[in-house]
Amino acid sequence: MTVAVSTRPRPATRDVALIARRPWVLPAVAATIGWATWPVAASIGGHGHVHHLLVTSAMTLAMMGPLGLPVCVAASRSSLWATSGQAVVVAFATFVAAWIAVGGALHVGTELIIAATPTGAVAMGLALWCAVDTASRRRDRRLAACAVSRPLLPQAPLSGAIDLGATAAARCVATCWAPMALAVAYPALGVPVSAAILLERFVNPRPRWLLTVGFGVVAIGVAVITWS
Amino acid sequence: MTFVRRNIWKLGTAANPWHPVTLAYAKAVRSMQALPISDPRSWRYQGAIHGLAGMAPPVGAPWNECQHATWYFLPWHRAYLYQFERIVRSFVVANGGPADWALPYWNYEAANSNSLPLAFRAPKLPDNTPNPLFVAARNGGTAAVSINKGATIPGNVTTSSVAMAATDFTTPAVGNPVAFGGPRTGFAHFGPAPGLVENQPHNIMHVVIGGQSGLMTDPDTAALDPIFWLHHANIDRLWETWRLSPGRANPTTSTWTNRSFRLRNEQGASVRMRPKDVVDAKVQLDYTYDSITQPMGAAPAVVADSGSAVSGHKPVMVGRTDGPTALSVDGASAVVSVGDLPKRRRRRSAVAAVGDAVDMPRFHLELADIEGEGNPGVVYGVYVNLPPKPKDADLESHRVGLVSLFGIGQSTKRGEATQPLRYVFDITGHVSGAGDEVRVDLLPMDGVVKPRRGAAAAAPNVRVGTVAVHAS
Repeated sequence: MTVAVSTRPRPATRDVALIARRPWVLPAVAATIGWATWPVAASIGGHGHVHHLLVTSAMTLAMMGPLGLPVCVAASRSSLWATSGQAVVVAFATFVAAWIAVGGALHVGTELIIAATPTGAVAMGLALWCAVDTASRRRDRRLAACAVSRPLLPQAPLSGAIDLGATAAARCVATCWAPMALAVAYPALGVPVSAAILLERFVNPRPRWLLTVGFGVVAIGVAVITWS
Repeated sequence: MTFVRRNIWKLGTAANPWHPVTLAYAKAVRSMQALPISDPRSWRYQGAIHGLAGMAPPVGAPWNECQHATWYFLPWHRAYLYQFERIVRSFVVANGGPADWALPYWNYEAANSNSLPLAFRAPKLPDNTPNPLFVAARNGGTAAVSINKGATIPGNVTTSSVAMAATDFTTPAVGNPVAFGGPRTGFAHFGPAPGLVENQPHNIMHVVIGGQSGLMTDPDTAALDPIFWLHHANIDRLWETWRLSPGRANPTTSTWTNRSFRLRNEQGASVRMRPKDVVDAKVQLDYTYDSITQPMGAAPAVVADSGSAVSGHKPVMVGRTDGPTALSVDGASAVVSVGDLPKRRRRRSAVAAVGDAVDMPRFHLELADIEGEGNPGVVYGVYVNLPPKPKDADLESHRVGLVSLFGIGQSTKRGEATQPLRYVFDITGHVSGAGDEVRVDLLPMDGVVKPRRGAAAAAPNVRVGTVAVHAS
């Protein structure tokens, strides 16, 4: 038999932080910033690494920022109220940072592939992959696993929040790397792919067949544009 | 024709438990067990729909789709049982049995019914052939005190009173999951937390029957034990009873009513059923129960309702343990200090604002992030502020609920797996406010068959990542 003893939280001198009470605030702000800066960054022009990083970061914030909502909710729920605002911020920042890193890697990867293969072929392949994956039941379980819960221990709230954000990002990447890669490879699809991701994540039951058909149509459309 | 599901304990006698309904079930099970797993009507295929580890499903097969710790728990299992019953009936008729055969149920709460039905304990059928209803892998194995030898199960374990007292069907996925049917989720093999009826008696009885290594303890093997179906028929009966009780209602939102479940019918063909197709058993599915009565006596002190709905305040964590708590077969203890409460911002109504007595915070105990590679096979009572050397009356008055860790293996898996186990109990009557120290004890329930000495030593390690107190 084991006994674990708690530590007492700091005395109540204030209210629960706004970000903890309204966990949707951070994802909403991040998405807004992403959508506001993505077209601006893309229109600046240039092909340097900094420019690419800027565009990729804006795109990732816009597309994946809203998917951080479950992380924020979990961080708010799993931490002592006096530190829950900090936990939400750290967990969400970790989640977004991980996704931006993955977005950069996807950018480099697709650039390398596109160097040897037509962009349209890459985009068509990714869209077909998305269509098949969206139709599968296994995707239901991956989506369910995106709602992560991790202990946020009082003596290590920072590392707990980082762990939570990183775990959530890992599961999110495993679920949504292909749509993200599609948008990276074919930026014109950024808006519809973002809409599809949001629909899938937050509409219950998820519109499986609508999205499958949608990705199928995208694949056909890209093929027609590329080879006509 | 309306099929009537009947109480197994009223079929047959102690001297001869082989009522035609029971005998027909046994013979049908044998017929199904003889089929290969590739046949959707086979015993193993039907079991795999609930869960099967270590074998990839054939293309399009709806395996591993049981819904747990989610508001789909009840409708998914009702649809599952309905199709299973039709399959069994087709074999019953083919074997020359009654055409009006219906699945019996096991009401373990009824008087003199709190032990495994006799027909499931007998190794042989009346014709001296092996009894397919008998499963050796049950709690206690072949020991003198075992489920198969008729060990009785205490009433405080079989009871559904806490669940039946709940008025809400569901709660938000991130709130305190203390409603009858489970939290709002998407399609979830193992979701965030069980609803009240799913936890007790459903989860509890699974482990009581299965013990540490029996079929019923593991969701991946549970449906292979023929008693599984009678247990779930009883859970289904409790849902029907709850639905017909005053002030209760199923969800009407389309996210619940329109969720589609894949199953197989008596021809082996794929069928889809939605919660809205199964909400009224008699009208929509042509079956009923011989008794739909409230099984509970006096309602417990626990108010089985959403904490947030009652207090009008969002739950916040006000205390938690510093680290994981190891849970052995002997139990575990933890102490949580309730820190100062944050300012309260919202009030539910003008009436609530009249006096503090109306607006007192509610407190919930959360056991969360529970992980382990297997189930110890123990039913634990969860006690709050239990005095040293407690008497029976203390145990009763300080117990806030039970846990059995049903599904812990599935919940612990990473990657595609779902979420760690989580339980929430209302402890408002045990906590007065800031500064309280809450001692939490998880102790094996008395009167339930316990793991044998050797098995207990080899019990899997279980960790309770979070023991916390929430105020709302």
